[in-house]
This record gives sequence, C-alpha cells and structure tokens, in this order.
Amino acid sequence: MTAEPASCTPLSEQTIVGRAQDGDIASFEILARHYQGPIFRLAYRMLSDRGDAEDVVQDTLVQVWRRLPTLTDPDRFRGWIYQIATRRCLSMLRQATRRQTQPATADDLQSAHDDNQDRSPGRNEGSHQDPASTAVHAAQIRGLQTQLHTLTAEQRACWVLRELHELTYPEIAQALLLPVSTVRGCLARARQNLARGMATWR
Amino acid sequence: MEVAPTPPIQSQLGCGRNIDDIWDHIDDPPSPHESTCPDCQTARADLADLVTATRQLRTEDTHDLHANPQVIERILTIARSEIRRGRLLPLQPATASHPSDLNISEQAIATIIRRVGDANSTIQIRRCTVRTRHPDQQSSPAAQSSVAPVPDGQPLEKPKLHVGLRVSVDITTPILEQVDNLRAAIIYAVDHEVGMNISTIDIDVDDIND
Repeated sequence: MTAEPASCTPLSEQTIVGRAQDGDIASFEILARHYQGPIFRLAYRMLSDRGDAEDVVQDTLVQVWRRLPTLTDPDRFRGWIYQIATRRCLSMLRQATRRQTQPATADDLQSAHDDNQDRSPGRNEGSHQDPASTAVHAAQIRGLQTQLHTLTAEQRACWVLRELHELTYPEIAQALLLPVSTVRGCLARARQNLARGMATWR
Repeated sequence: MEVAPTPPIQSQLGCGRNIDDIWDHIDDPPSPHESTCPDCQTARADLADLVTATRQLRTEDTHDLHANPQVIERILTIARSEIRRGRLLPLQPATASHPSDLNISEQAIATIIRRVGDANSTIQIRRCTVRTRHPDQQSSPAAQSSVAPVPDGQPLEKPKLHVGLRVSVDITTPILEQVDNLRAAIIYAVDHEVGMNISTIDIDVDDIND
C-alpha cells in the first residue's frame, strides 16, 4: 500500500504506519480506508453476517488506533491487523457456539446457501461464457460458500486468509498464533474437505 | 523443549500419491501417472473445481462485499475524539507579567514538518517529535516542554524547537545532500508558517525507500 503526498515519491506503508503511531489522524485514515474492505470480507466469510462483520471492522480499527504506539515493527502492520481481526472473529464464533445448543443442521446450511444465492443476482450477466458454463460456475461458487460453513473455525480462517487474502504462511501463523507447521496441516485439511464437498456440486 | 508432532494427515489417495502434490501442480498438465490413474483424475477434478471457484469467489467478494460507509465514519469519529495532540508549545515567549497564552500543539508542528518533507524531498519522514528543550539539556522531566518566563524588561527571544526525525531515504541521490535540503526546508517552513525557530534537527535514517 502506498499513498500519494502533494508531490514526490509515493509514501510506503511503513511511513504511513509510523505517522499514525505519532498520532497523525490523516495517516490513520489512509490505513483505515485501505484495510476496511479486506477486514470486512474476512469477517463476512468467517461469520456469514453483515452486521457482525461490520462490528469486527469497527472493533479492529479502533483497537489499531489505540494500540498503534505499542507496535514495535511497522513492517509487521499487515500481519498485526489481520491478527486482531481474526482473533475477534474466532472469539465471536466461540461465543456463538456456547449459546448454541445444537450443531448446524441441514436447514441452517440450506438457509445460508439461500442467502448466498440472493446476494449477487445476475453476477455473471455480461460474462462472455455461454449460459450453461456460467450457470455451472455460479453453482460451484455457491457450493463453495456453503461448504465453507462445514469447516472448523480454524480451518476456515486458514483457508480464507490464504486463498482469499493471500497472506503468507508466516503471516497466517502470526494471525492465529500457531506454528507454521500447524497452519500447513490445517490448510491441507481444509482443502481436502472443500474439494470433497465440491464433488457434490458438480 | 520437545513439541509433540502433529498427527499425519490422511492425504494419500488410493494409488498412494499425496493430495498435496496434486494441489501443488494443479495448474500444470497431468503427469503420465495422473493421466491414467482414476484416483488422481478424480482428485484433480475436485481440486480444479475448487481452484476455479476460489478464484471467482475472490473476485466476486472484492467487487460485491462492502461495509456500510457509516462504519468508517464512526471509526474516524472515535479516533478523532481520542486524538493524541502531544504537548502544547508556546508560540511566543512568556514574560513574568504576560504568560504565553498562544500555543500550538506538537502534532500541528509535526504535520507542517511532514508536509514539507513530502513536498520537497525524496526523504520519507516516518516519526517526528518536537520539543522546546533539547533532550540532552533537560534538567528535570517537568522542564521538558516548558520555557522559563523571561523577567519583564529583558529582550524577548522566540521559543526554540528541537526536532527529532526517523526517516527513510532514497539511495540514488547522496544522503547528506537529501538531509541538508530537508533541514533547510523545514527550518524555513516552520519559521514562515508559525514564526518559530528550530535549533536542532536530529535525523536518524531507519530505512531505504523501495
């Protein structure tokens, strides 16, 4: 991420982070606007609820503003903000699990599937694929979204951070406070479970 | 300290191949074995579908998933209410009978300095601290940001600032030249905009611009 000042060279993320650490609100705003999208998308895929995802965005960025002075290495800002956001998501999932008396039923999965169908109607219109393969692709994406619900919270986090946010293994390890080897194993299990699930949507 | 090894994953196919190997080469054409092995072909088909669906989901999410615009505004409102202005620095010297009541915050001067750096230099100012007494000259912590009032009748001297910067520099131009230019630009701008003099600018080079 870079930002354009009045003239001259684009500012690096470390520069923006350093200024935000000094209390420069304009620099914090640049960081907040840049990361709100990715954090929202992460939280939505983890929690499947817009309101909860927006809460995660707000909680995370307010935490960032308050705790920025404690960040010793501005180079690690990206891993740090993802860590705050991911832990918030996992904490909310744990609270939801404690409130729930039964595991997710087939009805829960079906309604989540239906939510995903409603979200982006006509998304593939205007695509230059033929209607048949467009429909197949649309079905597979809906299938993938539904399958994500069947993963454990940890598997879902590893997979979303790797495949949708392209974090490195060390960054994922930092986000989840797990060894890299555990992250690799978790990701492999997630892939297998998802791939097996994809077969039912083909 | 020994850590217990993670249990082995059931990632082997019926033919003995490992599913992770197939994942790693999913974008390549099938190997001679994979072309003829039903287990591998099934695994490749499943993973290929997953790869395609994943890429499309990533694109769709980026286009379609957005938080309500009010969220960012709420966050910035909270941050502004918790703003860290830093110390207040007197714009004019105090006298015994006229204590200085025109102040400017450390943050406001730092903003001027950063703007000067951005407009005039290849140097990126990352951290900026502003004091009215040099850290080496402090006699007590309480004296760090105060200026002793001048007795009435004495000639007034403008408060002097001591600035500390941590920066990232460009390696294609001589660093001393960049640093000297930046110092001159900052001294001029702070004098011109708020009428304050800078005594020292300490510059620590932390990094190199990409």
